[in-house]
Amino acid sequence: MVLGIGNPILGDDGVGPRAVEMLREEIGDRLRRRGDADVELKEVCSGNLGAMEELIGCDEAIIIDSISAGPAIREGEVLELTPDALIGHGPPLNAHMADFASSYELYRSVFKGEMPARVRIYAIAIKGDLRFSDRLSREAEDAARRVASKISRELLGDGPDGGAIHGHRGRRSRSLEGIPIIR
Amino acid sequence: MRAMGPEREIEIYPASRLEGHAKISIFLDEKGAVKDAFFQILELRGFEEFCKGRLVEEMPRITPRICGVCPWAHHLASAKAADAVYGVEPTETAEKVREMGYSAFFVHDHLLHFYLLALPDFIPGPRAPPAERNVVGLLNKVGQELGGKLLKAFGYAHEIQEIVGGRSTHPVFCLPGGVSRPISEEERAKIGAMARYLLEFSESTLELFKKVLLKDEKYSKMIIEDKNVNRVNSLAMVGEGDSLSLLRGRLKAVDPDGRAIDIFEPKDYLDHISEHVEPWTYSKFTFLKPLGWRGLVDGKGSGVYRVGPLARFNAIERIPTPRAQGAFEEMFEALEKPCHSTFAYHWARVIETLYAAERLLELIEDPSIANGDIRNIPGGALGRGVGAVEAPRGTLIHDYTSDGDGRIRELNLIVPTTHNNSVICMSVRNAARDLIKAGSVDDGLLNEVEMAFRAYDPCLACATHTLPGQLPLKVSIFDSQGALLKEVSRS
Repeated sequence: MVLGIGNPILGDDGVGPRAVEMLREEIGDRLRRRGDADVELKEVCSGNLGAMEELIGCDEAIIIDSISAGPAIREGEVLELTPDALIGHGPPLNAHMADFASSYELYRSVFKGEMPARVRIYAIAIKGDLRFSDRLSREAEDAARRVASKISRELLGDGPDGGAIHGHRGRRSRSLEGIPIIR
Repeated sequence: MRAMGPEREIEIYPASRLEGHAKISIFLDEKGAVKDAFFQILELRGFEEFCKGRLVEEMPRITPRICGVCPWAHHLASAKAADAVYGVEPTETAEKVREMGYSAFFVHDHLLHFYLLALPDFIPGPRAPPAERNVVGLLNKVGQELGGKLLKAFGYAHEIQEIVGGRSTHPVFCLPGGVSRPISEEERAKIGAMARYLLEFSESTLELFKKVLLKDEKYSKMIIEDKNVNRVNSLAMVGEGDSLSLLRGRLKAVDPDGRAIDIFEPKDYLDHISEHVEPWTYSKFTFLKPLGWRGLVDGKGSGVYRVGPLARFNAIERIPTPRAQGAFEEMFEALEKPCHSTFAYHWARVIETLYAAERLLELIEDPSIANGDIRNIPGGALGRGVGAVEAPRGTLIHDYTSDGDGRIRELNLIVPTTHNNSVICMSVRNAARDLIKAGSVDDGLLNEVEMAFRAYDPCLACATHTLPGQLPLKVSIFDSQGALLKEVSRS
């Protein structure tokens, strides 16, 4: 499952669904022609608990979502994360503000064996000042395209490409030590 | 907010376990007693401007994206407003299909609130460490088996919504005059099986509520203790014979003593409800026009009113499904009607879950729901249309004015949390006054203040889904000179 999480009418919050849309444009036909029923491309605009419902029954998941830019992450950069990297970075578990990591742990502990064993998250950094709009900023659109291209190469069996979406490498914040940042 | 003068301020930001972003500011005096408290909503703005110029028939697909937790309510209210703009009534079958999907959503939403938001406050309890005061802590206490049943219920409700609505989270099936596709006999059988499970689970949820809350002396006291009582008016949609109705009926207001003081068609709401603005919050305060705005006060004569499960129960005379009606009678044998206890919201919500599950099963067992007569084709756009529904959190109103091409010229939405804004502020103030003494604050006490308004299940139009950044929750207490005395963090 490749799942884009976000709100497509809230500006850059919709970068996740937009990346999945690009991915579908890029490889949707090819997946259909080779009869690949093992890969599902989906967008969801809900809280993280609602998103977890989409992952039930999947072996592996790739999540594309936005993350707030800040001192350590510049707008348009992409972090490759696992759910473990997000523990402690969100508010307490609750219905709408439930953070991704807690929601995933909850569903994994209750729906034993039904949740994907491997989850990767591409978190695209966006500005926090969100307004209602059905357009992405240039930075978000570019980042979505880079992520979509990387994932399409993986899904088509071209192997992980470590270079295609890497750009300028700047200094990382100490708090993000160990987490790959793709600029 | 920080006041000048000999006052101290305790801030809770952001409020935990709520949809959206909010801030609670509590002002203390020099003796450390609570002087006042405000629940401040930091909403996303600009939605109405975003919609202007768009086609009316697109609105049922756009408006659900205001919030990822209550999209069905917006879809149905918007659909009804679009029906009215085009002057078309849906077919009888289409009304049944709409209500059937909506009932599944209602069950799902109420269960989610009860188990994820409300129940962890009682199991393991408000004094449990923050890391345990959530559904994981709840399952550790009551057993993982409940978690499996709960998630199965969520899954079934989701699946029914996807079959009926086209998508599980954001339905797309309503059109002016009806719905976009019929229900097949195969789908009817599948939904029926899931609906029976949801009814069974809703009944066991009511039993759990009675066991955990009503039979526990401390918690049953909370339902009737004065600090959680705000004697205000209630507003809700009522059906035939003043029965509980989520999608069709008139809006009825009753005063704090339960006397009906106003009843009107939703399309006439502007003659009966008005809005007041305060400088310290984006959200408006609505009030009953005939009574006027007299501030954040309760009692007879105040224009403040509440909406939601408790308001519905105060306004109606009966529930048109047998098991929920029995539970409704039981509740008002124990409590006076009308009821004003903030915590009684939880009881009403659980009974409503049972009603929605009964109604879902009733509708899907009706063979005519699969007869294929799903739409009356509308003519041209006529102008203005108002759609109102009872969302899980209360009355929701969509008001569209279109131009001659069927595009939105003006739009007004009144969401449940706006209706409840006044009474939420009053509940937070009441709870804080009783729980914070001499400036003494700890995390458990703060959660109890939040419990007071969480009963209203406020949805703060949180349409954002961005992964959270580094925003620790801090409570800061300053002395009268502005020096920091104490800081409590939830991070």
